[in-house]
Order: sequence, then structure tokens, then C-alpha cells
Amino acid sequence: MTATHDTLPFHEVQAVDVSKIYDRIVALRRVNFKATAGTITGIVGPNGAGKSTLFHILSTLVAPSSGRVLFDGSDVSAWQPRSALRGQIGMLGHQSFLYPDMTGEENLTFFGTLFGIGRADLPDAVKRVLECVRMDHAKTRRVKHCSRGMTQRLAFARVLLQDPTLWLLDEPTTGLDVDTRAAMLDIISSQKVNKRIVVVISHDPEALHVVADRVLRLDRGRIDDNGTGDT
Amino acid sequence: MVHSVKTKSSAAFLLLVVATGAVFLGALVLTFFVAPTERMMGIVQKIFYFHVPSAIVMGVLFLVCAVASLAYLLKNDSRLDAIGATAAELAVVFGAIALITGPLWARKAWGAWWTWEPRLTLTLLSVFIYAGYLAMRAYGGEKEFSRRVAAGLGLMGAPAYYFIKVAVDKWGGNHPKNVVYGKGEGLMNPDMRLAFFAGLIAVLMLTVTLFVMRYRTRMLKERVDTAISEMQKYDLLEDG
Amino acid sequence: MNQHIQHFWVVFRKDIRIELRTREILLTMGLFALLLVVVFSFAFYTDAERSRIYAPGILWTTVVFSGTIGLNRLFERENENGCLSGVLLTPISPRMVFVAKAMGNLLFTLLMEILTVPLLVMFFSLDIQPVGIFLSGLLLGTVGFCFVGTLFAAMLSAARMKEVLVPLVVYPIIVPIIIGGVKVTAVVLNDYPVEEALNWLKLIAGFDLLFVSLAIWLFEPMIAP
Repeated sequence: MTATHDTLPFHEVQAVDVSKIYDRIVALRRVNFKATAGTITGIVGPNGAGKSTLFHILSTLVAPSSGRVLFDGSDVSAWQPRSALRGQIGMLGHQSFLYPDMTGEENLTFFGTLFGIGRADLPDAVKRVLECVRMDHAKTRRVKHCSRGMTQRLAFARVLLQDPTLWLLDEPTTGLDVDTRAAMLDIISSQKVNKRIVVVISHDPEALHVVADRVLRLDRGRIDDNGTGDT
Repeated sequence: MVHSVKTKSSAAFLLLVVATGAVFLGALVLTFFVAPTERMMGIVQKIFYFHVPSAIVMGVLFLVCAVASLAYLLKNDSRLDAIGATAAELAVVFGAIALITGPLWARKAWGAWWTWEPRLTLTLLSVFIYAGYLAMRAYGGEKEFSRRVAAGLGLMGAPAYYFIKVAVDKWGGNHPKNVVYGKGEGLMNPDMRLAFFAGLIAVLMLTVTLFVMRYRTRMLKERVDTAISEMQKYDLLEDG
Repeated sequence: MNQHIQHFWVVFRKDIRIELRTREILLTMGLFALLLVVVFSFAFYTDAERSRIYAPGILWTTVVFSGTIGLNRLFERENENGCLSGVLLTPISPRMVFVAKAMGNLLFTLLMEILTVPLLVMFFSLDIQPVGIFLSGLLLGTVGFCFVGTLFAAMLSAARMKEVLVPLVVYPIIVPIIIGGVKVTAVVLNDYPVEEALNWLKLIAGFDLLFVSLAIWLFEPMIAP
């Protein structure tokens, strides 16, 4: 919410012929995929189709078995230090990335510091994202005592705080009440204006209908439709 | 073309196997029929001709494993991993040989099966490290990840070997000095020296043969895995 | 550089905060160390004279065994809810994550030693002389143990057999520390010449220098390609 289009470190992420094999189990088969700044890409597909694997590879935390992931045309290894690139990739995964023994607020403060938010701005920034996900009333509750939906909201708040260039959202609306879901979809939609690259995995066709510019189908490790979209 | 190259390399390998067999036989003949039986130790002394070469080979293999591991971490090439793994595996085998033959010697020389003699201790601990390396590969999780973790251990193994050596030498310093190695009187006899060098060459050649064999098996397995995943990628094969 | 220090500090402080809240590591490690000391006392204590011979080994066995509990548990926390992935997807250098975790382990292990050493001194009626040499040996040895141990505990934090695998790979590597630590302790308990202790201290320091750097360097290529 601070960086403008010109200051973003990259404007396009591309997977070229990406395959991933885990000990003879093929998770992705020659996936070609491109997402550009200011677009929201939805990804649907049955369980075990390779959606999470695709996210982990796009996040650069998992290396593909073959193929490449390019940011503005350059390989991950071209980014030095790599952590500068990784700091611009935000992920909301199956796991919340929150320490169970710390409160929501403490978690956000911890990650906020790592994201590079200044000490002076941090309390306000944390407060703002907590309000965004309607969690400010329970910010002092330890994450392990939070319900599934609350944890999900905090995890989303963590990504909001990071405000990354690439947003990888895996089932962002699971376990949320109607109001929060609407608010979250609003926030996701607004990333188009902010020129972020957003990729959303969802089993919620309605949600994708609202936010996504195009929807790709991932099945048995393959993307069927090559980017023409069928929203 | 590919076929002929393969035949040629197989012929070379066969030659290597035959040569290794011949040298080994020669070394055995020298050991048992040419080299005189040592007065104090008797027949047990002949262990020396294979015990020491095994320990030497083990040390060399540690170094190979460490270098290959470092290169693998930098270059991420599965061939380097195969070299590292093969070296570690054979290091454990030859370390085990040294560890089994050592006590046989010790029993005769000092009347005890095990005497925490520095070199034997060093061998034992190094074998532990590389057994850990193999365990890591087997139980460390996903294949590529466990390979990298094992490579880290393989790299640490070589300096650890050095530090353990310094430490056990200093530690063993309090024990009575033994005369088995170094200027052992046994090797004053030229025939004994000949047998020793024949044994060294035989063990070295055996190592090379086994290394080539195991390396090839690994790479073959790697190629099968790659072929299977390629076929899966292009839907020519069912998953699993 | 300032940023690195800040990153280090944030992760390090986070671990202390969680530990102060749950107390699981310090409690389990402390209780286990206490138990070991008691068991060893039953097993080895005969008289004050002989205990000076056994005590160095008992001290280091206790330190290493109890320390292993902390190693495993402290990195396990990064795996709860996949937090490590979250941390790596920030501008922090993975090396700083490692250094912070290793220093966390160092702190907890030292705290455990603060409990263990006086107990041993009491149970085995020991007289440590000179204290400075003893503490240097303990500190240097613990540093090497914690860095090498954290590296492999981190790598294996998701492995099913980590409780076995971590000791299996860490203990052989840190043998020089164990031997050196035992020897230094033997010197201060038995009034052996200090010269000998200094030699061992040098060895442990050399080990630390090489293996701490190696562990810091290795963390990144090992954890993420």
C-alpha cells in the first residue's frame, strides 16, 4: 500500500515448463504460466492437482525438478541476495505461518519488523491490518487458542502487512464469515489498482468470479487452459 | 554409436575386474607364501597387509566424499551426489574392514580385543560420521532435500576427521606408546614390504572397481528415475 | 549490517519470549539434566577421590544429552504452522535465522549448565580450580555443540526420525569437543598442569572457529536451493 507501480521490484512472474517430481510422484507436468502486474489469476482444480506445489515453486522456496521460474525474465538465482526477492513474495498457505504460542499482535509485530516496517510505523500498521481483517478485538489471544477462521484472518493480515509484489493466496476465504469474506475479497480486488500480481487458489467459484480476471484449471499437474481465461 | 561406446566401457570395466582379481591374487600369494611369518605376532601379523590399506583407502574416500559434497552443494549436479554417496558407502565398508581386522591384531599384540588405540578410535568415529551420512540419505525425507543435508554432513566430515585425529592422538598420548604402525619392525624385511605394497595396490584397485560399479548403478538408477518422470510428465506412464 | 543485527535480534528475542511463556525447553532440559546427574551419581559415586575421575565425563555426557533435547525442540517451533517458510519469505538472510536459532540454543544450554554444574559439584564434592579455565572450556565447547547441533536439528526438524538422526550425526562430529571438554575439566578437578588444559582449549577454539563458520555457511545451501 506504500510502493507505487514504478518502485515494485518486478512486474511479471512466469513459470516456464515447470515440472516437479517428489520421489516418483509427479506433482506438476510442464506447467507454463504467466501472471502480470495488476491482474488477478484464479486457479481451480481437484485435490492433489498440484496447486500447492505450484505455489511453493512460485514462492521460490521449492526448486522445480525441471523448468524455470522467472521474475521479469530473470531467473531466481539472478536476484542477489535472494532474500530481497523473497521478501516481495507473500504467501497465504495451508499453514498460517504464525507462531502458536504468540498472540496475533505479537506475530504481526514480529513479521512486520522482518518485513522492514520502521519501529515508529509498526504499531499503526499492525493496528490497521488487524482492523482490515476484523481481528482487533482478539489481537491479544494466542494463536493456538484462535479458531480456524480467526487464524485464517490473522494469516491474511500477515500478508497485508507484508504488502508484497506477488500475492499467493491458497484458499483465502476458507472458514470465514460472510462479512469478513466480502471484506477480504474487496482487499484482494483492490490489489489490481496497486499493480500487484495476485494468484488465488480457491474452491469457491463465486469468490473467484468476483475477483479474478481469469481462471486457470490445474488438473493432474497440468494447466489445461493456457491463459485465455474463462471468467 | 551409443551402443558401441557402452560396449567399449564395459570391456574396460571387465579388464579392470580381471586385473583387480589378478593383483589381489598376487597380493595374497605374496602375503602368505613370500613374506615371512613374523616372529612375535605369528600368522596374525599378515592382517597388516590388508588392514592398513583399508584404513588408508577409507581416509582417501572421506576426502573424495567431502570434495564431491562441496561441489554438489555449489553445482547441484546429481553426478556429484552419486560420487559423494558412493565414496561414503565404500568408506564405511573399508572402515568396517579396518575395524574388524584391527581387534584381531590387538588381541594378539596386546591381549585385548579393543584398546582405544588412537587410529582405531579415529576409524570408528569416522565410520560413525559416514554411517550417519548414509542414514541421512535413507531417512532424511524427500530425496533432493536429504541429499543436500547429507552433502553438508559429507563436507563437514573431512575437517571433523582431522580434528578427531588431533584430539584422539592427544588423548591417546596418555596411553603406552605402541609400535604397530610407523616404524614397525615387521616392515624391515623387503619381502614384507613387497607384500604390503602389493596389498595396498590390490585394495586400491578393489576400491576403484567397486567405486565404478556402484557409481554406475547409482547413475543408472538416476536415469531410470529420470526416464520414468519424463514419461509421467508427458503422460506416457501412469503415476506411482 | 545494522539490518542483519536487527533481524538477528528479532528472531532471537522471539524465541526467548516464547520460551518464557511456555518454559518447555528449559523445564524439560533442566529436569532431564537433573535426572542424568542423579542417575550417574548412583552409577558412579563411591568416594570423593574417585569422583574426580568420573565427574568430567558425567558433566559432558549430561550437557550433550540434555542439550540435544533443546536443539530438537527449538527448531521444531519453526515448523509449527510452517513458520519457517513465512520467515524465509521476508528480507531476512537465512543465515541470520540460523545464527539466531543457534544463539538461542546456546543461551538455553548455558542456562541448563548453570543448573547442572553446581549440582555436580555438590553431589560429587568437587573442587574446581582454576574456575576461569573450566568456564572457558564449558563455554567454548557449548558454542561448537550448539552451532553444529542447530544446523542438523534444523535440517531434520521435519524428518520423522529426528530424535535418533540428530544425535547420530552430531555426536561423532563434536567428539573433539567432548574429548577436549572432558580433558579440560579433568585438569581443573585434579590440579593437573594448567598448560595441558590450555592446549585442549586451543583445540576446541580451533574447532569452533572452523565449524561455526562452516555451519553458518552451509545453512542456506542446505535448507533452500
